[in-house]
Amino acid sequence: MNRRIATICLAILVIAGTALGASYALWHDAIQSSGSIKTGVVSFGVGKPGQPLTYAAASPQSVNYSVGPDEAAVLAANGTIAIPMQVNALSQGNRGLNYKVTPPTFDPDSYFGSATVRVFKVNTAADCTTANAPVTQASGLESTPVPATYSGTSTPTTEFWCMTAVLGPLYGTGSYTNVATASGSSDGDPIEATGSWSTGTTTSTLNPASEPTKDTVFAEKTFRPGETP
Amino acid sequence: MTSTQAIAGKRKLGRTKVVAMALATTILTLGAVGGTYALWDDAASPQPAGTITSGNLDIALDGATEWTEISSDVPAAPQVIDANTFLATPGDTFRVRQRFMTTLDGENLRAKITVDWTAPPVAPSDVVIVYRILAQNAAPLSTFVPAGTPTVLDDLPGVDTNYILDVKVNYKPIKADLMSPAMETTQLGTIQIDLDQIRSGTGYVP
Repeated sequence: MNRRIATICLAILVIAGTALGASYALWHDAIQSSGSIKTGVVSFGVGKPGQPLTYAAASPQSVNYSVGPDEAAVLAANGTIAIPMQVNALSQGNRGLNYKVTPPTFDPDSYFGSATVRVFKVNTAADCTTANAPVTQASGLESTPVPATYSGTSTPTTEFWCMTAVLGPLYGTGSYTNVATASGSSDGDPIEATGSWSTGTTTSTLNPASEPTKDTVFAEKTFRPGETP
Repeated sequence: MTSTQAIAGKRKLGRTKVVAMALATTILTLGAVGGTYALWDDAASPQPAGTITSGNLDIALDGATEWTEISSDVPAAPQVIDANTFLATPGDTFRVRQRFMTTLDGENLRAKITVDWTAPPVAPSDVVIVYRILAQNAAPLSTFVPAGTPTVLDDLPGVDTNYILDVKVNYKPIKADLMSPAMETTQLGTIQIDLDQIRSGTGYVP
């Protein structure tokens, strides 16, 4: 009986409480926030002006410009050649881009090895001429087309370099002269006799089609503000 | 059945019947004279019984999310940036802050804050995202933990209070350069801040 009374009383209380608008749930509220940011990119390509460039797949990395049989043929035919090279560089965000240029070392027994070769920077591809070539080859060739100050552009910076070659005596061309001198004395008086012999003019056996392929190396790297490129 | 036995049977039920008859008579008598069984009532001039106002628990954003570049090697830093257009690179560090405020109106009202994610953060390799909660004056109320890890602030002050969700995004210097045309985005995810009433805490009266 007591349990029944207690049950009845509890039911009455619950009903009364509900009728009066009471709530037993704890209060709750919430807010949300989000955000995102994109990563800037690097792009570095080298090639012949007007042609698709070859691009670095990573950074730092080198991209090469090759000369070989085709260029040797022009050099052999004309005695000179001027080869413009285009560089496209892009580095977004707080990041600069620098690249160093290393000219190739040509084999002596080649057309380019038989030429005076110069590699130098020019303002435009049209400025790549033998007339603009420096007297001596400079060292420490490099450029910083993108400074480390913030950049959000997606347009690459374009620069041009030039390789010129002026053909000299071809390897294997010329003559060979051997001179021999005999010295002695006769009755105390010195005597000397000289004799020589030569081969005459020889012809180079160089063949443009056999010209080795050599690379001008463009090595790029990016750098932060305050860093030395 | 004889008349004597009949009279005896009637006598056995007599006491109960008499009481019932007396009660019935009373009821009938009172009813006849206009009696009522309604409880008496007297109404004096009504007096105000008092007003109970419902309290309030609320959490709201206070302003827009603010991105600031704090890279140590950038001369212009710290500088507020537009995250919609800014391009992050290895070595960059950003501070992302979202202010919010809590409203706790009510006697004996106590609450807690829980920071958690409904959509996880997405960070590229070598990008680290951490966060903490600050007071309005930028005093830390929690320590930096990785984004996606819940943080709970118990026993909030029982008054309206301003807070700061403080997120730090660091692009490690060792992170490799991203080569075009690849694309990459660092996403903070969907951060949810819950404000929940609790029945404990400083000053709470059970």
